[in-house]
Amino acid sequence: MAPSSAARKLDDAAPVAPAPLREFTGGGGPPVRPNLPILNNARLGVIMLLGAELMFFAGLIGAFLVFRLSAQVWPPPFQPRLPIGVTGVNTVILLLSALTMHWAVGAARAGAAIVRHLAWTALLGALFLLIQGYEWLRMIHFGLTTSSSVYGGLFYVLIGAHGVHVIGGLIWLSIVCWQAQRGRFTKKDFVGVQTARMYWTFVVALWPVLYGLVYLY
Amino acid sequence: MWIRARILVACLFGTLMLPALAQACSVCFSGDDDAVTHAFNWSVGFLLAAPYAIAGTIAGCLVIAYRRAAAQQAVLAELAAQEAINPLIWTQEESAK
Repeated sequence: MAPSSAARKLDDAAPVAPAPLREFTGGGGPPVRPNLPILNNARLGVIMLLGAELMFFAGLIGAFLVFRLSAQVWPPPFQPRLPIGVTGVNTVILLLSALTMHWAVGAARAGAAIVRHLAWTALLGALFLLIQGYEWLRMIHFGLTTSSSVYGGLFYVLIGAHGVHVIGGLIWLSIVCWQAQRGRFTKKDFVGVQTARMYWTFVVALWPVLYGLVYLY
Repeated sequence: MWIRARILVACLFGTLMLPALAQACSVCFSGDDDAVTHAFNWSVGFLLAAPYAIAGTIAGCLVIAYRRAAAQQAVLAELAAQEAINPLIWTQEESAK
């Protein structure tokens, strides 16, 4: 039998598991309407976490602005220039990882396999980190360290903080990937994938801002 | 007593009007057109706006989620009607009958 239009609409809606109707037991209270939560607690928690993370990065960017705007010459003399081209390519790689993460959520919603998409996301994220690490080694070799100047200190703190968040995202993705492989997620319940997507989107969306500020501005 | 109060008010007024002399302002060590002042102004403005922007975004997300949940609940009610479980759905209005 084909499902009714209402059933189909419900199927397409956000994957919040509906609370079952309480049975009317005669002596008890009247039956109540199913009371759906506005937002899954896990997603609400991640939103709060991301709010705090955003404030953390806002503080770092505020410090960067003070030094950048007050400097007459930037980068300071005798300091190596940052690799704009390679990091630009790296930015594209990270943006691609957001796309594969988006596909993973789409696949989870459709009930399809998501492990491949998650693995690609993690792979692209790891590639981003590898390229960043290589560039860092080169810059340290050229003399840009945290103690060489305020320029170096700001660079390593801002970009390093983002790198630590990428590592955190990769660990999160690995756990979600492992859970997906064990069949933890269903078409109706894939909150773990959604929360991972939220965090990864934050990490990816933050990078172009940092790239523009630190590398291009 | 009144003389002391007047002196106190005069000092407060002076502090408010001349923060640089009173060393009450941490970023008043340079002129208006100085690059450092400019930088601090932009940074403070940015940090001032950030919490409002973030809180506003979170509130927006919650409003969207609430509307989505309300729409989902409406769909559930429609589904319940189709499944002929109407008598089981109790409303405030019906309770008054």
